[in-house]
Amino acid sequence: MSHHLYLLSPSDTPLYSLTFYSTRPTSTVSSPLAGNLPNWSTSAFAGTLTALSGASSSAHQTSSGTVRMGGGQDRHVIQMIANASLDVIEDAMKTQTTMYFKSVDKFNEWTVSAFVTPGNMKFLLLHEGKNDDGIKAFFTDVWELYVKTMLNPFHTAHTPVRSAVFDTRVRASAKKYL
Amino acid sequence: MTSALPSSLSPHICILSSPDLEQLLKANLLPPLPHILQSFSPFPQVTTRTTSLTSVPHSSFGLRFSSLSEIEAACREDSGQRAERTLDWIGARIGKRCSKWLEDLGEKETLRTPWWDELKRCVEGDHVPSRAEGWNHPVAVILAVSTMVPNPLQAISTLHSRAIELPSWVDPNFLTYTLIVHPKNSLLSDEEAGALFNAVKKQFGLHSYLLPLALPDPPPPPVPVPALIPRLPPHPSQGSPELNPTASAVNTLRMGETDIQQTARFAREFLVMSLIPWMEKCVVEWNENFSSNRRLPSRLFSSTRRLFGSPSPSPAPTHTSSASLSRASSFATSPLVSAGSGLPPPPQQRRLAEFATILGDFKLAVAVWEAMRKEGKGGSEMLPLLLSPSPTIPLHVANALVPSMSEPTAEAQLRALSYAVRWEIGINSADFSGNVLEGDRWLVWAAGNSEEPPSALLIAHAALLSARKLATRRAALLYLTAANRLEKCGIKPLTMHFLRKAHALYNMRPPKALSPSFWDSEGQTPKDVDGFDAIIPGIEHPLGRLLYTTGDVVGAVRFFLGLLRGSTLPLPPTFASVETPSPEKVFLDDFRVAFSHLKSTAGDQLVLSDLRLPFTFCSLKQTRLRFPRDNQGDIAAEWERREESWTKFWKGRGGAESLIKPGKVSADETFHVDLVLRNPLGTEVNLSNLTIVVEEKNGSSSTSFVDVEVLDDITLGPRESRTVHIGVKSSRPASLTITHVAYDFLSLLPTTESLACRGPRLHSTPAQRQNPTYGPDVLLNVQVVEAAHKLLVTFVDDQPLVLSEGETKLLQLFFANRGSNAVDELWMVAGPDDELWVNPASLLRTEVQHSKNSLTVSEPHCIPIFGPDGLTSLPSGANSEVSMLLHANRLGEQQLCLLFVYRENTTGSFHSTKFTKTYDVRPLVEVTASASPCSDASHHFLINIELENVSGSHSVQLEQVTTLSPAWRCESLDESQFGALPPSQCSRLFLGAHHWTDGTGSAETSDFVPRKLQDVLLGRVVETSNPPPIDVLCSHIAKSRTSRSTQAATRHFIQSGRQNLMFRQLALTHPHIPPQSYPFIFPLHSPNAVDIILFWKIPAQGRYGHLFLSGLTLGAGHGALKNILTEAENAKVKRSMYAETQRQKIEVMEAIQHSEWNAEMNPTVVAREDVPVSHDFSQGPCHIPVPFTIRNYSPTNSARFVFRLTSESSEPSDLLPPSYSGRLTFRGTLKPMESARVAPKIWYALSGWRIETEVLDASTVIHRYKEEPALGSITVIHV
Repeated sequence: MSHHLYLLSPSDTPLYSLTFYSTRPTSTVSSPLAGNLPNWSTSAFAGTLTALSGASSSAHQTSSGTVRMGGGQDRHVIQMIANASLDVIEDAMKTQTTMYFKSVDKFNEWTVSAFVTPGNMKFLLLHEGKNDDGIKAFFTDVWELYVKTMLNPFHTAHTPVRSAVFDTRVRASAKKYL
Repeated sequence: MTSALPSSLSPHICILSSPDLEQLLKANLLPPLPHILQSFSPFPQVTTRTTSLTSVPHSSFGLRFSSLSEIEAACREDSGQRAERTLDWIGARIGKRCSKWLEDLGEKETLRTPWWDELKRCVEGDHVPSRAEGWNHPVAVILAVSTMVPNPLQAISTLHSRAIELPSWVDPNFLTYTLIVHPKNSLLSDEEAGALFNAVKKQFGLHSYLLPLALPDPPPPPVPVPALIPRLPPHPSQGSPELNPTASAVNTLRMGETDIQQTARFAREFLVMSLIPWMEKCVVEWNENFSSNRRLPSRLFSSTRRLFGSPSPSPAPTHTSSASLSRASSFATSPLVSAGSGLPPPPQQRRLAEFATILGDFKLAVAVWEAMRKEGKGGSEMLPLLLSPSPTIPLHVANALVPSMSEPTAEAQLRALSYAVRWEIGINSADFSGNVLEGDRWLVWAAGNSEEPPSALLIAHAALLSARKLATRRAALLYLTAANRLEKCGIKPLTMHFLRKAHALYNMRPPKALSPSFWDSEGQTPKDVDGFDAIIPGIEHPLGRLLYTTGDVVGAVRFFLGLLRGSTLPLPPTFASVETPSPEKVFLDDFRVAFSHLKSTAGDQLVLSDLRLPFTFCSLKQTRLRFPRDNQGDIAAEWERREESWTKFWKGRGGAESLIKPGKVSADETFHVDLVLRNPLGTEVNLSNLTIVVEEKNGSSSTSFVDVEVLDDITLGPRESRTVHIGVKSSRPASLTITHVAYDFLSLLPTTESLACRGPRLHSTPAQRQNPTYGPDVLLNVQVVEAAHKLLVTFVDDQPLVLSEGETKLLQLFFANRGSNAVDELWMVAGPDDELWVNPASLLRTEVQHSKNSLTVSEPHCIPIFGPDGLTSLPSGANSEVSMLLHANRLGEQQLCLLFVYRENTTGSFHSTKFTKTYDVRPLVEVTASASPCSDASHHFLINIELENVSGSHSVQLEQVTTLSPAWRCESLDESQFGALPPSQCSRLFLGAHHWTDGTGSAETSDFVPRKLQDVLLGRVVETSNPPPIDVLCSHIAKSRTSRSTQAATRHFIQSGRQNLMFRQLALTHPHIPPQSYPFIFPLHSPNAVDIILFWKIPAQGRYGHLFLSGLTLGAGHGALKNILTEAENAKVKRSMYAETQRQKIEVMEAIQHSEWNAEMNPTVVAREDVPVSHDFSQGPCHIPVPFTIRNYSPTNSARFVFRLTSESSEPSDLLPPSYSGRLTFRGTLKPMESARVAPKIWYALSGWRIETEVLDASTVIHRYKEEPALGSITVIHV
């Protein structure tokens, strides 16, 4: 079961992203709609153009066949879902006062949970199962790590997080809670 | 709450026509009867009554007519197969028409999309009864005959007796109606027809109608009527004769006005007089059943309520006593048709709910649907249509869609689709897409995961609704999803349209309520924001591929090119691990394929001017020009210093001619442009025909005189950086600008990149400071000049130089004038540390040097020019050689940077050329020297020089020792000391130093320094006056008479060696005094200093050189700076607010206090002369005279001394205390450097003397000293 984490700046620029594969058995099927659905299959036209058009150039025949973009899932679809959920999160931010928005949006098998810091940073997590407490604890951890990163005087709200320490700790936290 | 029900929820009427009627209609060019009647639906202003007898006005009431035989045939087909066929049919219809729609649509944005309308019509047109719901089950059957047959009554009976072949699960409960069409040209007259009608009424009940029609011949002009709803064509295997319902684009009816009115009257009468009353009756009856089942709980409920005194009547919709109020039915009971055994018909309850819904009795309908939902028999799908918007409705929707989710069969999909369509039609659109219901999500749910075109269109419509709600990001996702699904069905035009929509919506950023400071704080603008990195490629790449497959290769190429964005930063490992194959490789391959295809098909007329790479390869800031005579940039500062010192020197000489800056290239000379190319892509690319574009500044277009190198092919690995050099040669003088770099990307796409760098940010006006404003772009400029002045300098022997420390090396410089003008004057500017001598010929033979005593740094050397034919000018093309001596004075690897400045005649401007040479200096001999007062009267001091050969391999011959001092003359004490010094051996030299007073300038120098230091201490400006000249005595000590030190070169080296040494020492001891003012404060020679120069030779290799040793100061000093230091301490304290300044002041003072100029010591030295004693003690006590020599070592001051002899010893000793006899106290005054001899007498032992000394300044005593040998201590008594 995979999780996708995105840290977005107040201007919705992704500053950090993480794909995490959890081995923990979690109670799935939170919605009847999400059950028994096949995963997104990769588009048939992700193969090379040569194979698609039937051109007979032999130079590119070696790579014919479908090339999967990203790790198992189409990266752009995952990112699109995260991006689309911002519409709902922004609406929710107007009406709710909490920082943690649990299962704020759903698209097919993906559920989006969000955490909005007082500094208007948005943390998005795409997950398939239901694990509210774990996700909340994970978000709190990530928030703390992010605050520590922000203590760096050269780090601004626009700066992508490239710290290896941050990455390691977020992964450790994901392993613990997700 | 619904306003008008979807047409698929209207009553379904089946019509069974007799063959004669069909013939009649065909003869009059009319469509079949169901189509004629359908044209009159919906009916305006129909009123129905609820079970509580409330009138419900319907502004329009729809009916659906179809042929009974068609329905019977359709019911025989398997429902799953039929659903599959329906989905395919819808997909085919949409696929066929979408390109036309898109053409019509153009760019304009509409609220309705034709494909959604088409989908709705197709889904709504489904009229075949289904097992799951009763909407399509016939409500009435119209049996229609015409009076064109001889016996119409017989025909009617035949129709009535015909068995209706509907399956058992179709509701058998329907109204049977008889219609007699009476055309004007009928066989029967009107009266006969009336009689027939009455007979029919009698026999088959009141649900009959006689429809007289004129049907003129020829048929009247066609009248447009509403289009028929498209219906699934029957299964091809059945092959039933059927008119194509989609025959013409505009549906028309060729009927006369009266016929239309007659038909309309019939249709209305059928609806109002027969169908609605019949349905109302059914509702009343069935409601009785329904409420009786539920009566007990409701009674309990109402009685409880009565008990608690609720005054309001029960609103429960189930509690209706309509049975008593129902109209007495005068209709004949419809003949129920049982169609054999099998599945049971739909439950009465469901039919009740459906009828109540149709009749507008929503109160009852909701109650029944609700009851069914609770029993799990469906109903969830209808509740959203009937209830007002509330948050529970999405739950009903989800519930209704569960079966379609759990079993993704075509039937379930179709059902979900029809639900979704009904909701979309039946619910007010503002409510439907509002925040409470969020109908767009329902459509997505209904689409599920199926990959059929209808579900893609559902998602696309959801996207449209989202976009209308300004949820653009969501809309973009939905459009992309829709496109992904549609693409699999091969509907390419619509796929591309959806991808374009997704692209546009994704790029449309919703406005953000962020503070302007958020952007200002980092100097960013909202335009700088880049979103998720994979989204744009995820949209554009399929779009490009679709364009390519649909033949728009140019568009595809544009997209593929746009995808190659590259990144300026290397991916961090966490991100890189996610994607092993770089997507850029796929994009690049696609681009290559598409572009080469484009090139091969389009040929030469290809317009590629607007195809631009979205990234650049060239790193502008690192682009450099490299000139042939230019050295690398790391020693640029060194050259600047040389030029500076030249300018200073030339100004000091009163010259006004300027030095022309280098950086120009002469014609026919190759210079290089260094380009730093960086591949921003994660995949390998190659660039061919890489070159640069050069323009002449004055605008002349032809640059044919410039020869620019072209690099054939360069392959750059992923994210690789590489520097390439492109040679440029101009054949005539010009001012060139290097504007662009040009190459063929992937050997396909000719590309140019500008080399213009953004100018510096301007800060001069407030407007410029507030809004970032930049100067004009900076381009690389090259000035190619006529080769008028061009002097090449090389070494004749260009071997690597390895020198020993102190070695003097003869170097041959080779000058070649490659310019067109002659060179008349040539100067060499060396660094201050470099010891060079250009004129090795001349000799000097004086022993006493009159030194300027100035620390001024070395000046440039004028280099004599030995031109051909004895000229002192170097004409064009001529060469000259000059010898030069280099003295290696510093250890380690050194670089010789020489700036040669030259000009054509004695008035022109100077030109310069640069020359560098590295050499390595290794240690040879280590020398240390020390001095001590000499007990011997012949010399004042003894100088001990220790030598050690550290070269490791060379045997060194010591040739000569020269001492330089303004006050001391040195002599060798042992002539035989000169000799070979083998490796790792030590040797010693002893020199005796004697005070020399013939020279002048020592006293002036001693006055000069305190004066200057006083200025420094008091913080005054130091005058730029040089120290007074001084005479320096050179003492040459050599085995042979040939003295090398007399050579001018050696003199020069010695002087510059002393200068360098002084500079280094001063910089160490007085770091706070600026080095520029050293020459005005400190002299070159201090009066008492002794410098030792050792001349050595390695005879085996013919190498020679000298070592310079400094730091010996002989003679006593007397704190010459004491007064000025006291004065500085007592001066009025200027407070500084900075502690650092204060600390520095103290450091300056301490440095001066501890400098050699303030040395202070006891000037007298007592030496006992050894007197050989032989005494026979038998002859009495021994009286021995013990002579002492007392010497005043102060070269400046007299000293007065008291020499006391005491018998007491202050420390215990084995010896007896000395017993002196005679005079025990000697007094005297010693002039500078004078000595006195005292001879006390002693009995038999020698110890316990004391000397007291007073230093005199004129006649006053300034210092007083006591010294006792036993203690070894000196007691200083100040006066």
